[in-house]
Amino acid sequence: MTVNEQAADAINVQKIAKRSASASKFLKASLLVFSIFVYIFLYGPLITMIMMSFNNSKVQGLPIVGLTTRWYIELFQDHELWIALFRSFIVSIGSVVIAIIVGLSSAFLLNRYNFLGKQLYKSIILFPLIIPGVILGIALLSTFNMLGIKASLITVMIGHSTFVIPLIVFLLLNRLDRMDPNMEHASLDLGANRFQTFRRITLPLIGTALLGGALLGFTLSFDEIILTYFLIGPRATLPVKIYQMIRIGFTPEINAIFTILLCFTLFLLVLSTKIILKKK
Amino acid sequence: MSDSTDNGTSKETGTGKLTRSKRFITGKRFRMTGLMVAPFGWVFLFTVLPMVIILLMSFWKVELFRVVHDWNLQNYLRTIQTLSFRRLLLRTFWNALIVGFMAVLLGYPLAYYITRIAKGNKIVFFILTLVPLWVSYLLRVYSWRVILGRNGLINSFLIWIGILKEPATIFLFNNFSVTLVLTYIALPFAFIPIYTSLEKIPQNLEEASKDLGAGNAKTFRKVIFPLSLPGVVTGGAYALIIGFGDYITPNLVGGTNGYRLANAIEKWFGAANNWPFGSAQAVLLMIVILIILSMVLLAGGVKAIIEE
Repeated sequence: MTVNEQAADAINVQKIAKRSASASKFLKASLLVFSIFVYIFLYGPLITMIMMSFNNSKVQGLPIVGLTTRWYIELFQDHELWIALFRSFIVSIGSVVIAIIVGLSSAFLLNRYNFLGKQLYKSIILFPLIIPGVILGIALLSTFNMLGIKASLITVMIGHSTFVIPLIVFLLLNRLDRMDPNMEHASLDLGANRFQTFRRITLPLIGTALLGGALLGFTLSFDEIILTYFLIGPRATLPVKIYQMIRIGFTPEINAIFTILLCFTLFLLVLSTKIILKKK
Repeated sequence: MSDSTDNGTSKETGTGKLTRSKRFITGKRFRMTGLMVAPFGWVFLFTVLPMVIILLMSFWKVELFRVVHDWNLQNYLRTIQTLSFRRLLLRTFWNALIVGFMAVLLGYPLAYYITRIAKGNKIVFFILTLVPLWVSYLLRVYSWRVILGRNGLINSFLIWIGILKEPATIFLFNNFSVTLVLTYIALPFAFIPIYTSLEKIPQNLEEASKDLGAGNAKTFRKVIFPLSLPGVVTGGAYALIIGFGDYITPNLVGGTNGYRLANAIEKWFGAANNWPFGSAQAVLLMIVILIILSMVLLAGGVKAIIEE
């Protein structure tokens, strides 16, 4: 290879490198534009609702006529909505409590013991997460009906637990699998009984996973409507109440409800993220 | 098998604590049984039993507004033989497919951007993408009515800039609006598994591919995409299921055109009051979903083997 050819090669390599660098720059820029577009798609509707909740007009649309807080004031005077909100709290707390009891024992069972049909049990417990809510809803409705259980807040609680349980099981299982079993053995060897070991050693180690799961479960349950619609009795929870309101027609109050709910769930989100990240 | 860790401990503790170790082992079976009561009872009562009941119910019929245990195949035959039902199933299936596809199409480049380019602020972008999941589901569906409706944002805007004279009604209460909103709802669900699978691919694998002379496109085609395929498949399947089973969204933003199979099932269990008939349709929907899921799993698995 002559000196000339070598130089030509070097120039070629440089050219290719330059071209690929500018190509990757172009790619990066277009990916950025695309991502911004996706974020606009994701957030546009949310921002629209917040804007409309302050719009002083009975008609939903542009232009914004004037700013007002009257929808918020009307909202706070709506007695029925407050009752519905209270019921939603009860249902969510109840379903999370059930889910913690069943989920905690399930997770320990799957982590510590081997038994016949363990894999089958794992898939069955996951099942409510992968089937559409409409099927779970009618299946539970038929079951309650056959067992002679009347639709009430308790049936809704049970329904919600079916999908909060798998969440808690898998968050806990993830944590338990990474935990060093020697910690518990050491505690037992040092004379602590099973209960003390659980309270002093195991619980602090899995606590954040449990709390994160509980918070996530609470938010999901608080918002659930697809399943709830089949299981609810005469006492409507907040999403059911809102659904009924939306179906009848438009009331500007709805925008205000949504803005308040948005703030509340974002607060829960920040809280649970902090709890989960703190562990790391 | 399961006692191996406990045996290890008892050997280490020596003779002095033998009684305690012994109790430790004999108690194990007892504790396991105790732990089993609540989960097994729960799973049987509220997961297995409901599915069995739906299956049984689909072979019964309604007489004088009551469910009669009269075994027959009429519900299935009637369902399959009706043209309108076959159309409904096809439309539901086709649109769910579009939802799955669109959610992946939007979610993948975003996940790629976050994991490969915006590396430093990864967690911020990740949470930012998931925030909509925490916002009321009804709000997110309803907000599209505000955007697409007759007096909505798009119409107001088009009139304001002079493209339209009268508000158009083509944006809302049709098949398109249902598919659009379902894509919107499903997007974060499709995003999560894609993101996790992309994040797991080590950076040096990419560098190795480039060192060996592959360009950006080739590296993506031969290295990154095949490795992220499980995430794509899972995310797409999740979006597909959401597209399949939602009846609230069609109720709120779809007209008669947006009507889906889940709406039919809801109707039979509600106003139309024919639970066995609705159950048969639910079982059919379930079968379709299980077929799709196993096909998707199979395709993903087979492809992964080929790539290896």
